[in-house]
Amino acid sequence: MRLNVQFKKGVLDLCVLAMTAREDRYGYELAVMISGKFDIAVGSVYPILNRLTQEEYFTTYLQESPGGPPRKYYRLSAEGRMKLEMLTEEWRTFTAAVNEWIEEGQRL
Amino acid sequence: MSASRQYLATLEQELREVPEPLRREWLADYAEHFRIGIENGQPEEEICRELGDPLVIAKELKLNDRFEQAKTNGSFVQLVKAMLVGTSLGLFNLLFVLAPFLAISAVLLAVWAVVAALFAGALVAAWQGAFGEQYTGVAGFSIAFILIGAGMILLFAARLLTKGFVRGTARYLQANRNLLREGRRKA
Repeated sequence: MRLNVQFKKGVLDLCVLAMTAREDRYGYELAVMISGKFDIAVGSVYPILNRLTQEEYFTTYLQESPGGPPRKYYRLSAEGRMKLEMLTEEWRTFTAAVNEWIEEGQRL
Repeated sequence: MSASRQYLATLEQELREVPEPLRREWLADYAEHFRIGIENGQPEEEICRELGDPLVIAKELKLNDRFEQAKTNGSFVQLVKAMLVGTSLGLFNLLFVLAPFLAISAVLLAVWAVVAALFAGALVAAWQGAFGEQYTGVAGFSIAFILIGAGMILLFAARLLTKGFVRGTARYLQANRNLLREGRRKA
């Protein structure tokens, strides 16, 4: 259960970091996208964003939106990119191991 | 009052003890969320529902932040504050967090008391050596130096233990919080 929770937290961090790898994104986008895929309230994504910003994986800036007030954008920092690489590596190792066992189990 | 205003007001109320500018920053995130949602034509009530209970959100915001502070500073006051938020999450947590915390705190307090006693003992021995009848000056000061040496070693150990304990507790609390949240979702 504990692994499960830690695991989920790690996965959410990984997803948020991955989603900002190619372009900066604003909070609303990230919140809605993450919440759409995982069983987590939209409002619970912002605390994650705040924590990752506090850990300096993100820098934030305000940018005007077309015809509206500015939006807060999240940009992946150099540390964030390193963290993303690390988590991705862990994820690959993990899924490779799991897949191996699943295939082993399905073999006739 | 509109649903979004109601939601933000509740959140602000729950975050009242969070210092500025942090609180304003957090609230701005949710205000912006409402703004964009409304621009997209989503009904306010639906946005509120999707965001989730503002009381839970407020706790998550506070926990995320205070734990970070406690983990990086290893500060006792920060940790106790985080504890209070943690315990308000439920009676279950109260038992699981407070009991081990108090037990280890008591042990640490005892270690610190021994450190204090060693230094006090050194003072007494030096005083006795200099002015007392009990033993000679040399013997008194020798004992004092031994006690100071032992006290310094233990002081170092006690500091390490306390720091480790504060960090460990911060992590333990975070795990506990996750456990609780998971349990609530299943219920």
